[in-house]
Parts: sequence; structure tokens; C-alpha cells
Amino acid sequence: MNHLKALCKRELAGYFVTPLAYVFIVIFLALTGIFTFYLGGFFERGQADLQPFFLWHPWLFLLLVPALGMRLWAEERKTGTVELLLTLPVSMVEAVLAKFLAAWLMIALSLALTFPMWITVNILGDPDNGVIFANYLGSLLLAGAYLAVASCLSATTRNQVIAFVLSTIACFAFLLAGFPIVLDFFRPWLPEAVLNGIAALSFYNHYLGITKGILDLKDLVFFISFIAVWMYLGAWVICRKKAD
Amino acid sequence: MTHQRLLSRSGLLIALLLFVLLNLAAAFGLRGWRIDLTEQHLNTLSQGTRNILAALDKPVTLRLYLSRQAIRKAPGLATYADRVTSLLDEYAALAGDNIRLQRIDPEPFSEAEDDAVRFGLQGIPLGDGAENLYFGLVGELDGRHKTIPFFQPERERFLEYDLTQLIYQLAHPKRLVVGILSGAPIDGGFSGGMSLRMQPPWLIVDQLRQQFEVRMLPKNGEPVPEEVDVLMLVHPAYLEADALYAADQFILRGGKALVFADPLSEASIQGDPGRALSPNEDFERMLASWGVRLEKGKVVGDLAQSLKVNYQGRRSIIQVNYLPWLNIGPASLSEDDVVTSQLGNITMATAGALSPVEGARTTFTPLVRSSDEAMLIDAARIAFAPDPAGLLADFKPAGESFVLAARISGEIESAFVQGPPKQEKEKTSSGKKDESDKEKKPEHLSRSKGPVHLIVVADSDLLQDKFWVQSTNFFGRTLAIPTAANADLVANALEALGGSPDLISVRSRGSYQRPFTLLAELQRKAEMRFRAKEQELSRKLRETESRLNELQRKRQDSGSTTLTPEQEREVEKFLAEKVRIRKQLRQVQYQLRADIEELETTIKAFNIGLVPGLLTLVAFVAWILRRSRE
Repeated sequence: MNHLKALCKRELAGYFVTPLAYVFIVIFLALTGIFTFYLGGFFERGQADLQPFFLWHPWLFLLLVPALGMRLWAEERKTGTVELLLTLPVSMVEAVLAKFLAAWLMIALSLALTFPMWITVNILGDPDNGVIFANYLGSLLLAGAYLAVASCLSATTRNQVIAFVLSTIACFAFLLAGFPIVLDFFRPWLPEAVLNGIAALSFYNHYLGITKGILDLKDLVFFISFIAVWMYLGAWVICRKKAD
Repeated sequence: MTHQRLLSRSGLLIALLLFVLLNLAAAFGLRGWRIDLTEQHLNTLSQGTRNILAALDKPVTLRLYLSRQAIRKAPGLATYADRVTSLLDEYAALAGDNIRLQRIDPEPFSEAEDDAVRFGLQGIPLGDGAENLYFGLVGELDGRHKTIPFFQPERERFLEYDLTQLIYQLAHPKRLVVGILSGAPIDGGFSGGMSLRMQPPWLIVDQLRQQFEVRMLPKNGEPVPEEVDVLMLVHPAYLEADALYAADQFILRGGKALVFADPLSEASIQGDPGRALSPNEDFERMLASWGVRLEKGKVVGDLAQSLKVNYQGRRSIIQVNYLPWLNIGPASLSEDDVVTSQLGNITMATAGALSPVEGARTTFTPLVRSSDEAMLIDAARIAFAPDPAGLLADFKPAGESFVLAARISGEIESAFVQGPPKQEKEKTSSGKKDESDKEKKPEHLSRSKGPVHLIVVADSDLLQDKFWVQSTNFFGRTLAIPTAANADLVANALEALGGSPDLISVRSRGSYQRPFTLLAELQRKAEMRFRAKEQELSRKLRETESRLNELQRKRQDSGSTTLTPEQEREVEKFLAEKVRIRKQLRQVQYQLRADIEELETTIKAFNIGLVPGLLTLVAFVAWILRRSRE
């Protein structure tokens, strides 16, 4: 694990060499702001909380996180550096984890840079900062889950566009797993118990629980184990495809 | 290599299996393991609920009816159902064996569905046909049932209160007994004044009967029966000393009372305004013994919260703000008290001002206040032919808000230091009867047994129908449609005084509303500027009117309706002035809008533009530096 820190640092620095990091953060910040004030009706509600701000995060991430995740492995695969990376004395786990953590830190940084929203509600009124903290945490976990899916799917292809489209569809399905839009698709040919299992995978329901200010262990376990299992899947895919 | 074993096909299967098992364990094994991050711990069961559960001595059965199939078609409800279920689990965990929680899935056409319907649960028909969605609760104890027909997500913030109340009511089936002792004609009877007409009882009594066991108490000084939980004392200034003595002794015995102490009862004024103004010394002593002062012969006029009335002006009927009739909004009601929090507007008429007596040993907690734009008006000006426009003309805000209702608690002494008041009748009646009377009467108490709990409202007219309810006859049935929350105020106060303090503590938990205080402050300031200008305008109008009248009187042909040149000049001067002030009024309103819009624009720019702008700058500088290095 000694290499993990170094690898992660190298990945993170890589974002800032190209305009990628800046473009990503600027677009994320501008969109959250616009959505909060124009679609979320921040002033019309007249409430000192960040509900209209966090309301849009699942949907914004659906677009932005696969965009960040699509290049994680597809790029390495295309340029052929994946073999090189794996011949280095680092374990597969370290490589996958480092790439994931670097991208997740990028998202965390973007979220941290929304601090003017937090200042705003604290000036305008007297918000429940405990709930706001829970919302940030839920948002970060949700983005992590998206990113784990995108990272794994980016390993399946050399083409970044395909990786992006696949990840967006998969994340959308997981987001709304508990909703009829997804369940109706499986209903005719799956037993009830499996349907319940699918519904339990819904990001949205787990996210909603946390945004109310209740940090339930089952939601935490879900997000962390979900991220872990998708990272394992990613490593598994890279290992299989190495030979291609 | 272990690497290969780890990433083999079986490794994949094991990983997936682990994921499923871990989440199953977390969902079922770790139910209720959670941290509540809200500042007021809104999601944690309160001490009140814990006390009520601890006091249960028999098991309560709670049946949660939840259509598992159907609820999945309404994902928003499904999330709420999880919340209800986990909260019920917490109840069951806290109460041990004293709560038996059963989950029932009333599938269509099943026996369970029939039961659900029988207990009065509400089935919500789903779009696609015969299937009904049930999501309610039936509580049972000793064969008694209480039901929550459907868990409305809109009531999420009252969820704990609703559940705890259901359990409390099952465990305490007895209804509160409210005894009403009234100096006002609350129970109907012949109205005073010139026209002797039979009046029906006030609707408030009917309304209270739905929730409480109401008893009208005689005014002849008989002691208040022991089974009375809360005494409702209405317009006590019109009660004789012996009736007041009965109330005094009831309160000293640890009884609780809701008192409507009115400086001027509009309902009792008719025909005899003189009596309405004469003081009742016994009641004044009683108030003093509670540590409360009611401003003598004064009523509160509140410009900001006054009701508009139609009034016959000199030429036509005009609408004016009638200062002593108040329409009190939530901003003037105490948010921290169960009685007044989450109450709508209440109306009061010729209410008085309450204050604590200096050095009193009781605590005085205001519940309802006037606004800052209020003053005290002589009751005499209202008792005899009130003049709304005149009152408005003489309005001078006292610069403070007056307390219209308050909670009083603490140890008190009797107002009747000398013992029971001597009765005229007793003196004339035979000695034998006197003795038998004495035997019946309980011993005189000169000080309270422990702290007393009172709520004093400085008005009784708020109970009159015309101030809170519109009743219409609907095919022979009287339908009462409330126009103000007066009845809720009374019911809340009675429940709060008579009910369990634990239940009260559950209800008055933190507020979920967090308004923009900064914007409200801006609005309030602009409003004050606006009102000042408005007053200036009406003052100018009155001045002109009186000058015109003056000129008219001075004329020889005072019957003529044409204006003299002098009068015309006066009118023109006024019109010019009016245009000027109206312009200023518009300016104030415009300025407020402009101020708020400016603030909003600044906030938007700060949030949407600032950090992205700075980042772009950083990126640009970094790019320049890199280029110059290359």
C-alpha cells in the first residue's frame, strides 16, 4: 500500500495538468448554482436550508461523474499504457484504488468549493447545519457509488464515449432501482424476492435517508460495500481483459 | 498467485455474495443503528415519549397495515413507510414487552383487507384498477381501538406526536372533564338590554363537547366538583363573590384553570355599559393573588393587527381599521408553547393588557402579544357608542407590545384571606340550614397545595361565535366553519392544562421551519416606513376634512353644496399633498422590492459566478506560467 499514496498523487496531479479539472469543477459549480436558484426556487421557498441545492445532485452527477470516470481505464487501454502500469511493482488493487480515490477527491473538492451556498444560508437565516453536513456526506457517497460503476465500465472498452454512455445508463438504473421505471422492466420474469433485492439497490432511497439528517448504518454499509464490490469488479475486468 | 485466485470466477461469486449478505445483515440486524445529525434531534424519540412508554402497565398491540406490493408503485411513500416502520421498531424496542408490533400486508380480497376496512383504515385506490394501498395503524388495548387511517407524508413532523398520542389515549381512555363557570351568556339564555330575546348557546361549547366532557357549573357558589380536571372561567368580573370563592378554592386545591379575564366583555355590554365598566374588586384581588395585573379600564388597540370594519362615515359607508378588534397572526403567538405553536390566526375583541405584578412569586410566560404598534384605549370610549375613525385619529403607538394571554404557574395564596364571603341569604335563612351547608362545604384553604397552573387570556369575546365561526344551516344541520383558530386555542389550552406533561413535551418539539430572517427584517423595516407614510396621509386627510368643515360652518349659506373659492383652494392643496404622499408610498414599496432584488442578484452572483470565475483565473495563470516555462 506504500505505492497507493504516490499513485493517487500522480493521478490527481494529472487532472490539473490538462484543463480537465478546471472544466469539470467550473461546470459543476455553475450548474449547481443555476439549478438551485432558477429551477429549485431557492428564494421562492424562503427557507434557510440547502434542499433546492442538494435536490439536483443525483441528476447532475449522473451526467458529470461518468464523464470523469470514462477515461479512467479506457484511456489507458487505448494508449496501451495499461500493460505498462500493471508491470510496475504495484498491485492491481492499489492501481484501481488509486485511480478511484483521485477521481473521488476531485469530486470532493468540487463539493467543497460550493461553500458559498453554505455561507449564504447562514447569512440569510438560521439553518440546521447538522442536516447540511449530512447532505454533503450523502452527496459524496452517492458520487462515489456512481464513480465506482463508471470506473468498472470504463475498463470494459477502449472507447471513452461507449464507456460514458454505458456508465450513465447503469447509474441511472441504480439511481431509480426502487421505482416502477426500473422494476416494471424486470417484473414479468423475476420472482418477488429478487425484485425486492433490486429495489433495495436504489441509490435514491439510500441518499434520501441521509439527506434528512439521519446517518443510518445500513445506508453507510450499502454505499461503502457497493463501492467496494464495483472496484473489485473493475479489477476483475482489467485482469480478464489484459490479454486482449 | 493469490492475485489470480482473488480475481477468478469463484472470487467474483464470493464477492457478490458477500455484498448481498452484508447488506441483508445491515438492513435487518442493525435496524435502528443510526446517528441523528439534526440540531434539535428531530429524528430521535423524545423524553416525553420515553416516559409515556415506561409508564405503560399493559401491553398495547400496534398493527401496522402496509400493502407491500402496492407501495412500491409510489416510491415517495415507500421511503416514508421505511421511516414509519423504523420508528415503530424504536417504540417496540423502548417499551419492551408492553408494545406488540405486528406487520400486516392486507393483500387485495384477503381477510386482512377486510379487517383494515373494519378498523376504518383508508385505502388509496391506485391508478391501475381494483388494488387499494393501505398504510395505517391500529392500536389496541383492552378491546379499545385507536386508528391512524393513513400515514400522510405531509404530517411527517408530527409522526412521533401522532404515535405517542395514540398510545397515550389507549392507556388513558378517560376524557378530560371541563367545568365552565361563566359570567358571560356562553350557555345561551335571555340577552340583556331592551330586547329580551332567547339566545342560543355559543358554538364553542358544542365544539368543546366533541373533545371533552363539558359541565356547566352553577353560579351560586357551590364548590367545583372534584372530578372536574380543568376549570374554564369565563368573564369572571361578572361573577358574584361566592362563585369566585368556589373558583379560588378549586385552584388552590391544585386544580388547573383557563381564565378569560376581559376588561370589557362585548357580549355582556348590551343595555348596561355602566355595569360593564364598574370594577369587580373580588376578582381584582384574585388576579393579584395570582401575581397578575390586568390594566384597569383599558383595552388594547393594535394598528398592525386590527380588523377592518364597515363604518357609517359622514357621507357613505367606509372601511376602517377598528383598533380594538384584533386579528392576531402567528408572529405574535409564542412558538415555544404547545398551546400557541402551529396555531393559525386568532381574533380578539376589546382585549386587555396583562403584566406580572412586581415581586410576584408566580412565573408569568406570555403566550399571545400585540404588535409594537399598539396602545391602550379607555374602555369607556368603546362601551358607549364607539367611533372607529375617531379611535384611529387618536392612535399613538405606545412603542411596546402588550401581553394578551399568558401562562401562570407557581404557589399562590387565597384571594379570600378572611375565609368564605358572607352570604346575604345565609344571614336570613334559619340556623339549621346554615349548619347543614357548612357540613357539605370543604375546608377553607388559604394557600395552594403545591404549584398551580393557569392560563389567563385577557379577552372573553374571542369565544363569541361572530369572532371565530360562520355557521350555516345545511339541510337542518348546523355546519360550523371556523374563520379563526379561536376554538383551537381554547382546546389546546385545556388539553395542555389537563393532559400529561409528557405528551405536551412531545408536541412542542423543534420547528422544521427556518425562514430567511434577513429578508423578513428588510420587509419589516420597509413596512414600518410604509405605515408611517400611510398615517401621515390619513392625518392630512382628516386635517383637510376638518378645515373644510370649518369653512363650511363660517359660510352664511351653509346649506349650499357648492364650494367657495377658499374651500376649493383647500381641496386642491390637499389633492396636491395626496399625490405627493402617494408617490412617496409607492417609492417605499418600490425601494423594498429593489432592495430585495438587489440582495437576490448579489447572492446569485456570489454563488454561481464567484468560485468558477476565480478558478478560471487560476487556470489561466497556470497556463501562462507553464507556457513561459516551456
